Amino acid sequence: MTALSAGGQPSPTKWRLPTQHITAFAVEATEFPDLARKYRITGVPKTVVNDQIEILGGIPQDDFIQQALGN
Amino acid sequence: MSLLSPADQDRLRESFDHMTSPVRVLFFTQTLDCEPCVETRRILDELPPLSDKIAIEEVNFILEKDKAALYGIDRVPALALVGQDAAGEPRDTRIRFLGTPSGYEFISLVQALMLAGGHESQLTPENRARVEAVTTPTTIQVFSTPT
Repeated sequence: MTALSAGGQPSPTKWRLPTQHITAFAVEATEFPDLARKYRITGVPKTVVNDQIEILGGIPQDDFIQQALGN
Repeated sequence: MSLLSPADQDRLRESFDHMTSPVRVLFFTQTLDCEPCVETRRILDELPPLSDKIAIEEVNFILEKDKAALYGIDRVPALALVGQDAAGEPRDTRIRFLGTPSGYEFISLVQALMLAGGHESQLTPENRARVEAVTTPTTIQVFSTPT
């Protein structure tokens, strides 16, 4: 389950998602075999960015951002 | 009969208490030939009783094609999370779920709801800056399985 820090209450009005340019899909691979085939899903989690970049497994946040966004 | 144990319901209620603004879950569904749609509806029905900040809005995938296209939804069951900006206007989070949100996906949904509802993200300031620097349309798909 989610580990939530106590305290840390966000301010009520600030929009916290940092960009409108990224669309993120969480895809249940077994329900959509066509997508699983198209993106060659042989293990999970697998992340695909713009149909080009592939990231296998759960990796540290710094590495994920680096590989997914290349910046 | 709830899908969640009373203890899990309590934990979720506590987590959702961190939300400061309402989130609308657009649930794209169809009535025929979609067993996962039925299961998804059962799961989603668990959420509003746990937080007055969460609302479910059903969208008929067959009859409301324009709305599905607007949110980039080409299959069901699918979810799109819509939050609220500082002025109280609806704002698309651009977070989507394809398929039944059970197992690990349910935990992801809970975290996405909290994020959309104003809870602090786990991005470091450096990574947040990198994400803010994205200026071209980017689609990220994360594939998982229920267990």
